[in-house]
Amino acid sequence: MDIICDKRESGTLLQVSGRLDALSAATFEKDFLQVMEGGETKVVVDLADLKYISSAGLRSILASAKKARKAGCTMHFCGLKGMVQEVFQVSGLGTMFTVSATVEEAFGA
Amino acid sequence: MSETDAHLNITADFDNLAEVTAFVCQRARELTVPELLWSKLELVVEEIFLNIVNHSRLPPEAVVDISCSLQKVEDVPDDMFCVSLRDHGQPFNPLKTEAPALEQDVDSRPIGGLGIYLVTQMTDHCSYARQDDSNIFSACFRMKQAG
Repeated sequence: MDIICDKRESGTLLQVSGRLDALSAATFEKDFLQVMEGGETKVVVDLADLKYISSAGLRSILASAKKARKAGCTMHFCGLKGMVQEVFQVSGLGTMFTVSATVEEAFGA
Repeated sequence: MSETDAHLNITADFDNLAEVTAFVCQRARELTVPELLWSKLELVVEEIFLNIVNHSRLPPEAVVDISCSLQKVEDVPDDMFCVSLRDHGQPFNPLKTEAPALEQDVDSRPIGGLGIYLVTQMTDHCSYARQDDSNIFSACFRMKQAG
């Protein structure tokens, strides 16, 4: 898994690519926490290039989201497709979070 | 045993996850499992193998037997690609775990409990049996997917 962090005027964009699984979940949580600790109030997580996610990946997202809420930071998702979209839908995360089609829409949401 | 059977015996160690998924995906390719199923297959194998690693209380040298085969399952007309994981741990039927509450908000929702639920949703058929002091979990996928 690779994460590209792009600090913008209206928030921070995290572009996550590859696999978010038991091997990489801790890295996602650590990187997300780092952005939050910088005082960010809006994070958009772009999953357009994420090919695979397991329950370990979902756990890292849920854990991050709980910390974000406590810190007053909102978490948005975009670019879901294929099995990642299906896993989001099946697990209920697709309705729990604000999910947009594109990065631009997510920053406008 | 079917002629399509292939086995991997491997210790129940987190570090073996990549080898386990590589073995199952290789068999899926050899048996021409549709490509759209591969990531679901990987997900199911990761969830079940790590469930064994984390909860079976096996000694470090204990081996998990993973097998892949094409099978006929009752009431299903087409062949199914089935992955079975067998371990000698404590009796544990994952299918008896409580389904997660999917409607809760971020604050009230527990972080865990999704793995087995995802397995049941991503497979076309799954089953658990306790045989000869072993847990045997099988996950099957239809070779011909609707649509």
